[in-house]
Amino acid sequence: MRIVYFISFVIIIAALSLLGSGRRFGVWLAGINESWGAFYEGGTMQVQPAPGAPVERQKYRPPVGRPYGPYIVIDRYCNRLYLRTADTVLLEAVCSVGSGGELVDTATGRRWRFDTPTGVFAVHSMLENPWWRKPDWAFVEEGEPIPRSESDRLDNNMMGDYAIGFGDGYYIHGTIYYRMLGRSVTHGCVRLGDDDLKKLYYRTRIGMFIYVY
Amino acid sequence: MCTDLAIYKRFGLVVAMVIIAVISWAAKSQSSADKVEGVLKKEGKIYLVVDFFERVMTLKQSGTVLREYAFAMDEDSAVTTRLADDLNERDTTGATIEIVSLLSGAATVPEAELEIICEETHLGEEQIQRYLPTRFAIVINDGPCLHFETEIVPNKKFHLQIVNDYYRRLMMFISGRKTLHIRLAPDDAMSLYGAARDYPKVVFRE
Repeated sequence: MRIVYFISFVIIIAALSLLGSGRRFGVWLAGINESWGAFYEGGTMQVQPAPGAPVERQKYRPPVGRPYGPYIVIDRYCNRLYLRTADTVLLEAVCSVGSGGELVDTATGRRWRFDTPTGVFAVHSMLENPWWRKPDWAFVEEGEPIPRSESDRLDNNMMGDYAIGFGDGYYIHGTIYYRMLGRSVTHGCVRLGDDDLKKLYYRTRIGMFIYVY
Repeated sequence: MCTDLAIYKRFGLVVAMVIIAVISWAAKSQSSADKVEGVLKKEGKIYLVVDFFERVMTLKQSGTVLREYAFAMDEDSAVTTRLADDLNERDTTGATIEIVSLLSGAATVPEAELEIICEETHLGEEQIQRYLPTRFAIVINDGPCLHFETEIVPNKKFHLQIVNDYYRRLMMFISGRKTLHIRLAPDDAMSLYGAARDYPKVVFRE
């Protein structure tokens, strides 16, 4: 009987995830998704680790107080990312932040706004070799039909070698559009070049403060 | 023995009084800028600290340094000291930015590249093109006008706005508003102009 309950629970959670309801369950569901190796359901981007790839994560907690060690600062106006302490800049990198643009699906009336959120965040997940699960807007933007098959949504090339999650589906990740670095063209995530991303990833720790302004 | 104890007690009392006096003096001597910054730290919002003595502006949030902008200016230090003191005494929760005005700018994306980027990103030109603020002004409410300049030559599109610039300067002159001319690196100007458009509170130090 217990097995039946357990299987039912698994099916319900999986169904909710596939229907895009993860947002409603917030981070709790996202954490479950990650621990099962399923896709990460977020506000803007959906990322999952490649099969067998290492993932570091913790239950998301909003940052409290002030950072005591290094922290990340993202300057949206200049498209710059800094890893710094109070008095020293450890890494300065050109990045790309959200365009602030809007997308409307004329067929359904759905709307998306592509902003990088501002405020104080904390690193809560770190993935190597991340796969991108293309959300609906990626197809709407290209004028393509939204696929029914999950496999048609997966892209193992777009996000570079690493992804650093800072809540609600927003990531610092790599890119294949190097020429766009330094311009505000993303859908809300923060893109970095390969070298800078690698340097940042290996200096980042779960719980590290991220300031976006 | 009893006399010695009384002497020690009196000595201890005197030492304690001296310590209390020193602490109270230190508390009183905390600068007005420190007090204002203390208030802003607790608010948790982004604020800007303008340090005329160190010639550096610091963008902070809850006391954490986000970015520093080194600047140059020729203003007399006696003037800036008086200005800083006056503003901090008056605005105990930080000075408020009244106007942020772009006076001239230089395009950051070449015209030839702009079209290609727009096509690739499905974004409009106005979203992609950013103007590096070569000259801009931050006007403090009931306070000075901070006039920022970089060494970059402004774009032709902005030449007409120079008239606007002169007009503003004239208005400030008429209203008796003090204008401080500040020189910044182009990258810093871009960042500061963007941050200022969110109207953070400002603390002045001298």
